[in-house]
Amino acid sequence: MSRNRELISNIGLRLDGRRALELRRIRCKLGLFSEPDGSAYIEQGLTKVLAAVYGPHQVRGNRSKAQHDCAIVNCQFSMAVFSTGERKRRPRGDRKSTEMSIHLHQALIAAIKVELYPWSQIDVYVEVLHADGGIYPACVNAATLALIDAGIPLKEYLCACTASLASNDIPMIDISHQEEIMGGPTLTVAALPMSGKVVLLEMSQRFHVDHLPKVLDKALKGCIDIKNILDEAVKNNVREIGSSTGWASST
Amino acid sequence: MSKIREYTISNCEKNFLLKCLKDQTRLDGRAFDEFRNIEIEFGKDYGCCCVSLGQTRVLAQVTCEIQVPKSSRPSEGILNINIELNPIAAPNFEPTSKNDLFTQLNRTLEKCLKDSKAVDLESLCIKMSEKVWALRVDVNVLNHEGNILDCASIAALSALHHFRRPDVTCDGEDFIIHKYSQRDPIPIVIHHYPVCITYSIFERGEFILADPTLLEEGVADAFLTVGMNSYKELCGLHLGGKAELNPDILIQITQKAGNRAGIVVEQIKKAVKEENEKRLEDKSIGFHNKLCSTKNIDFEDLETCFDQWRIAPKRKHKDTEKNMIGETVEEQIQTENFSVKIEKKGSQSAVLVPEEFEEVGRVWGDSDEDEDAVVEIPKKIQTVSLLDSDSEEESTIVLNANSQTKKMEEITI
Amino acid sequence: MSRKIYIRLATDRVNTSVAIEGLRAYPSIYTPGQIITNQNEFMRGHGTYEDNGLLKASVAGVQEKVNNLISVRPLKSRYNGEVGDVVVGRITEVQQKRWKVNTNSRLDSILPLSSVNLPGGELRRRSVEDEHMMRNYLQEGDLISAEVKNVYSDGSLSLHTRSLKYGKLGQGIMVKVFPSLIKRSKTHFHNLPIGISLILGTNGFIWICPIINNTEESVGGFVQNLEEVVPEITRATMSRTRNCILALAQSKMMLFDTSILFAYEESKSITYQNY
Repeated sequence: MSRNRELISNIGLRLDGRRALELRRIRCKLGLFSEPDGSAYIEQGLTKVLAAVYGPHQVRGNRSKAQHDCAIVNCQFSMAVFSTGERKRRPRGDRKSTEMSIHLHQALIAAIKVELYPWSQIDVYVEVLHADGGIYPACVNAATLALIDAGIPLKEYLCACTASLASNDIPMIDISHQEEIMGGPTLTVAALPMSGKVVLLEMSQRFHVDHLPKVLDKALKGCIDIKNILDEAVKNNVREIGSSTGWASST
Repeated sequence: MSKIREYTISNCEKNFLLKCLKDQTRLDGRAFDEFRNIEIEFGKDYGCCCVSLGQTRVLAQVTCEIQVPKSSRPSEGILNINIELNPIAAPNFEPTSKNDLFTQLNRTLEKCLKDSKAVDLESLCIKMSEKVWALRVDVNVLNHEGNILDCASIAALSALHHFRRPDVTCDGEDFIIHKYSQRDPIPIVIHHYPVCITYSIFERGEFILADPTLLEEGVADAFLTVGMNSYKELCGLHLGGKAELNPDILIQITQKAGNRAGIVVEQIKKAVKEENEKRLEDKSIGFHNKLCSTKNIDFEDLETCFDQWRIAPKRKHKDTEKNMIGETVEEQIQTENFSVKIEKKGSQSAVLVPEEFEEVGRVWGDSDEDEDAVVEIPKKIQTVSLLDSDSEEESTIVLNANSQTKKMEEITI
Repeated sequence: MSRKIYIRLATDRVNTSVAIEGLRAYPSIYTPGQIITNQNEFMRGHGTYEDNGLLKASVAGVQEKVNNLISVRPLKSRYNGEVGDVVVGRITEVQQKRWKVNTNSRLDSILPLSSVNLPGGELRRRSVEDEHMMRNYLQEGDLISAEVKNVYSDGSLSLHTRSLKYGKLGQGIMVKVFPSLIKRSKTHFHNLPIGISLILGTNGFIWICPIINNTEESVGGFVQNLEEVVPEITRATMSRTRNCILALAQSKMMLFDTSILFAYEESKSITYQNY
């Protein structure tokens, strides 16, 4: 990993051959497992994430946590020990994982209609199988798909995307691990793309505040593109399952 | 040990706050984008700093030691930042549990100060791959009245700016660390000064308040923390909670935060400069100057307080020092049974002396506080008669009942 | 000893759904956040919400329009009870004067003491001794079949076992599937000609047991006959039925007594080896 390489070469290509505003290839699948109420798998480039949703169900464990007017959302973020270059010691429970769980929780409660399920609990479990940059966005997207698969009502799709600034002030989106390491600030945005509202914003390293509008703008566009891809996948899934069950209604 | 639940906000408090916001007023009378006053005080050691933002109080201390550097970065020093949420700050903080707030504060502060490369770590290297300085910033929250993060970031930054590490010289193979008295200690090189500025968001982005108090924090939907330095560079950004913000509002807030960051950094630099000047001029330094000061009490009011006291005769007392705040003047107070002298001992202390005992000017050692603590030792110890005592005990033991005077050794701390 | 190990990559996953090919007419599918209509004359049902005068979907599913009520029904969701449904549930708690039953819904269902038949078939008011004896009737972990009496405002169900066909379940196999695969029908108790009987709970819990003889006097359904030895043929039939149900569930096909029977017949042609 030589530091001489620019994040964007003179002809406008990045390290993996993408253009500045291109997303990595996204593949996703819904309804993988039979045990959880909803499950999903997403691949963004080489990053692979699994998500499983249980609920809404009765609050187990600490009864006092149950709230009278909304459901509580319980998120757990975990990285497989083989997901990074070096074997990870602790898949969950260390500070970074706890922080990711908290951020995931913050993003999800803005999108799930929790007021419909008082006294209930929704569990979201996310497992990263391969970490190659953009872990948080992949987790958010996977969690969204799993929630849709479980039939839990959402306000709308919740999508997330990373964005960064190359050295010559060109904004890039969907940052891979290499580009993260090589320096350069990373802005992670989770948004509701259809209404254009930002739900979570996270930034590391530093850049001048004047660049913020355009980086934010490109990240939001990235979220809209991701939403279209996810939407397509969900519609295909509904068609498949629906036609298997013959579109029979339950009443 | 009983678990105290989180401070719950009652519904009427919440509704009242929201109603006031709709009328464009805040409960403490500030404007929506007004911040509370910052007061920065320094302690006797280098790197010890106490910052109060309104009623929120935070204490930071920087320490250093020599360690082996990380193998991935052999020529860089190590910087560790740690916030402790002590139970002293709020009744629901527990010493053992690491709750969400704890993790968030730690991570945000780490990102703001460490990941933005504010401190020059290369200058902390002594010998590559073998010895580097490891700085440790410990931030303790003393009082939680909202917005711990801002306060902690200012405290950490001031402490780092104030801190000086010992000088190291290389003597061929050996490294000698010089004491502060031998060689002047060296300040830390800081490239830029990132401070965190927090805004709380209500009603899905309708109201945005700067520097929330404890009540406002409890009612808010979401928080936006902007880490900025005086050059208007973003060093950390975090928006979380049940937030739904328009991107334009976001940009607006970051612009405002930029102005504010400049002001705060100026204040920090000024405070540290003043402190350094004070040290040079050998003025009295330490927390007691500002931290312990309370309102000035009128001397006459004090008299009336002591007037109520009755010191019965024939009972021995050990005189203890009374810290009286404000100017004290020697005076005689005449009451029925006794007379009392109030004598000034030092700038911040005085002594209440019943007339029977003469003062002995013994100093209780050289304390760090620079306060003159006086312990009065009675020259004559009178015998104590318990015949007319009101004690309901069946048998009483009187200590020190012999008439020998005991001299107290001078104890140096 | 060499055995072959088959490793399958995620991309080679077998797609088990049996989609009807070539079907052109899909009903309208909505995904969360999609605008359904912007007319105000429609009432909104489940799975929709209103935003700025627009009616939007909140789940991914099929639109259902009944007169002027629009709702979007998701394909997979937790069991939403309705009065009159037959459910199979497991007791999770014994509380004062009632039991809490897990029925795979949003909240645990309630089986009040007054809604069960007393042993011996007596008809009397429940006394304090009955409360103490609750544990003798039903304990934590017991399986029951019951019917939904009513639905409370927060969505939890109240069950009753006031008929002789409901009650504690004895020897058998329980299979869990998604609730949407079971359609509400006139009867949920099926006696299959292969020698087993089936209870298709609307909540997705299916109970397979040896055939029940209804001729004998039932004592209110609280007697579990755990001593009776089930013959091996019946056991084999029950296991085969279970696997058929799981296969149908995997392929997302609806479960009726007829579909299970057809699957069973087909599976007879495939023999298995007894190890």
